[in-house]
Amino acid sequence: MNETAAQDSRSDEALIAAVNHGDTAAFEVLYYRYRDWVAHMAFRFTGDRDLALDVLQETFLYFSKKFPGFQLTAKVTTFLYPAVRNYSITARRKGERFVLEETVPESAAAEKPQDTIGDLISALPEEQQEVLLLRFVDGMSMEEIAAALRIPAGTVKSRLHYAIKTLRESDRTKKFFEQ
Amino acid sequence: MADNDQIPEALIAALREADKARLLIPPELDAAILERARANIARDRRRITPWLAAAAALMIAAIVMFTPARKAREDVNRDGRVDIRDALALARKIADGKAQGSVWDINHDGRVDQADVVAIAALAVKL
Repeated sequence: MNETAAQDSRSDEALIAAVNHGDTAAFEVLYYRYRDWVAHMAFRFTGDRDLALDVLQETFLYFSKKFPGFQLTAKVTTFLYPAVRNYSITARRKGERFVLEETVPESAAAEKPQDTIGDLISALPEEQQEVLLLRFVDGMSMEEIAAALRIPAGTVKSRLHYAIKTLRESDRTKKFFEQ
Repeated sequence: MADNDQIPEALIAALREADKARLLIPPELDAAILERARANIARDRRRITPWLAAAAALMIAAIVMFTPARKAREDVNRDGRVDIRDALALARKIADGKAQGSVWDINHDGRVDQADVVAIAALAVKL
């Protein structure tokens, strides 16, 4: 991470106020503060390094276009999440089209060293996987998940409930519940 | 449906382990993203400038419109307007010998006479 950006102790709100006044260095601090998180989420959605880096770029360009006049009403991650998600879905669609035309080498396809997130919770519909990961891997509250996904908190609870129910019965994960 | 749906700690740990992979982000990409973001922020600030200019122009226009105008010399009868009555009022003053001094010298010819009456009348018609 950029040293100057890492040492900046200003709050997100203070940085956003500075960017609203044209301070592009403050945007740089925000970039380095959330870059890894965005890249990580994008990789989780796309499962592809190059697509994730594309999403990283699109997300921060989208963010930069919100200035001046951007008002932060929740956490920065809550604001960025829908953008990462939407750009990832778009990137993945493009990627899928590309894969159809591409021949995957057998050796590469055979390389599967360990369970990926997708392997562990593959029994779940994508929308349930998403809620489960946000809750237990990212440690977000129900309200934060609802805000990030722009869905009611009740829907979050419902998706989580059915996700856990399925995991209890899934061959790949039921052992965790039996311990 | 329980509000506190939980999953075993071991499963959480396994999910976190599987999610641990971190992407290496090339510094060139950082630089490219930041350069474009800076351009976006600067452009959006420039885009707001015409609006500020328009707002300032509106404010000036409002000040000009609502600031009382200086009393016009042509407003001989001091009723706040310049009309044909002012021409008649000046004609009366001249006839009564009360139009002394340069204040009624509307056409700046050094005299107060019928030409000034005509000048006010012409102004009133033009208005």
